[in-house]
Amino acid sequence: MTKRVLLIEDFPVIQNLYGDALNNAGFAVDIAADGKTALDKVGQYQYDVVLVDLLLPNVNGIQFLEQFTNRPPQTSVFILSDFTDPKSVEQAKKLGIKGYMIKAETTPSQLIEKLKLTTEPTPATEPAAS
Amino acid sequence: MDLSRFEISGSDLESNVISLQNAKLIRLRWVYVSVLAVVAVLPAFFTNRLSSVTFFGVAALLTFLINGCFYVFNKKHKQNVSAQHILVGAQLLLDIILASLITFNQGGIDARTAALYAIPVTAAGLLFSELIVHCVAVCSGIGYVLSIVLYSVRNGAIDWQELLPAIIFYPILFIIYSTLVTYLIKSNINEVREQAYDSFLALLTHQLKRPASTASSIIDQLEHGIPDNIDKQKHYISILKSENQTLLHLLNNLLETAAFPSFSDKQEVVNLSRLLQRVAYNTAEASGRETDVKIKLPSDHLSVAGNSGRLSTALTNVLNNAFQYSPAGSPVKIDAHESGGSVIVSVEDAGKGLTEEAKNKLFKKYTLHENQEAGVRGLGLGLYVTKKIVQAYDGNLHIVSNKDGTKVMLILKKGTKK
Repeated sequence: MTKRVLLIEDFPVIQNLYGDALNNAGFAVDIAADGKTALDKVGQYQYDVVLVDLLLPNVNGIQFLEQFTNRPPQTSVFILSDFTDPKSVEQAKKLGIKGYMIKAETTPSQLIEKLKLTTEPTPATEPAAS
Repeated sequence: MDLSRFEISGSDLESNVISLQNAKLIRLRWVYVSVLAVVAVLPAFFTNRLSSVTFFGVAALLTFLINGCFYVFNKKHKQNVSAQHILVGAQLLLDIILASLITFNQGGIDARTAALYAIPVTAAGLLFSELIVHCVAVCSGIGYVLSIVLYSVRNGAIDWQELLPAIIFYPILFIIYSTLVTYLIKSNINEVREQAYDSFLALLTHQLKRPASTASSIIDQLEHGIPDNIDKQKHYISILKSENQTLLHLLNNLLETAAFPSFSDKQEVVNLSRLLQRVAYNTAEASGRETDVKIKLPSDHLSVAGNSGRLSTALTNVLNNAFQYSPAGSPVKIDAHESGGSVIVSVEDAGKGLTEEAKNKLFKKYTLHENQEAGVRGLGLGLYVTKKIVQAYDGNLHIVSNKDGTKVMLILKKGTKK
């Protein structure tokens, strides 16, 4: 089943680079250029993964996380940002993110690897042989 | 880490911090009003001195009302640093006068009334100046001494044996207290500086990493043979070129900022016409706005005095702003002409223009245009650096802005070949 990803990123070049890479890897990608649009989208659709930049116009990444409270349990939220202000990192971690990735250190290929691992169904544990 | 060279004066951080400190001061003065009531009014009840009750009741009410006015003023003028300083200064003066009036009225050498002077000294510590704290301590000492001396004069006799120790002891106590307060305030300033430094570092690393992360993503994709389309590959390569230029430009601005005040390069005669054309088309290409540039030059031989590298940085900053803060498809007009002994370069965009608040912050370091911070590719240094460069070559910079757009004019000294 195709996994659905929401990429919240305001810089068009990065939108295209990560968006194209994720599409080519078989993910269905939606893009939001600001936190407000992202909140509208998560209200309409259920995503398997949400990738959030921190510095965004209108509603920023932290504000988005604070308002995105009714998350489905299968939705994994990652920060994907080059902004590493310690206060913001701490705040984001308290808001239930699954991981914090620095864009400069995370190529599209590495991102895809990570998302594939995250969205793979967990194998059922076999009962011990009696 | 020694952050004492890290300037926060003139920044939004300073005005926000002073406003917060002033709010603390106002809260402190509510405590002062309560202390005033307890120290001065209650004993007057027990001694049945109704006139004293009236006097101190009025003093407490007056302080209450004035504090309320200061509270409203502080809320309305948060960004006005000079108003904040005047506000605090007025409060300190009022506190010293009130404490002195109470001392004069109560009379005698009384530790309770001397304690009232601790309030203005502590409050003075909320200003960022050690000198002012000591001045307030000295004024408090003078106020206290005058009050007890005048009280003695009013009673008809000055008992120097009783007064002299108090006249010496309490002012010294105030100075010791002010030294303690300044020590505490210094550690507070370092905390503020560290916060400002951390925020600046976070912004700096973000803005510098952005071109790097774009480049590494493109290289990663090209390595994996994506895209396989030659036109898209060329497009990726042009993005790489533009991001590299952006990175170099950001680094240039940082270096220019760090270079001041040791700004000493040899002035030369620069062909402005050629420089302007090159910079205009490079910045337009980097912004994807090649068709929006409208350049008008009277000749190919306009010359100015300066350094071509630094003038290139100054012009790039102005043009980058014009492209970033105006919609794609709208024209960015560039004009240069001689006027007396100067050459005037103007760059005009058709963006939304600047608010009054934005105009006041234009030349401050590390300040980005409001509502644009997240999308802007910069460190808030562009116009600060441009103005410094232009002024270093005896020129000037003016900005006119309204809802139809912004026009930046650089007035440069004409270059003359010797």
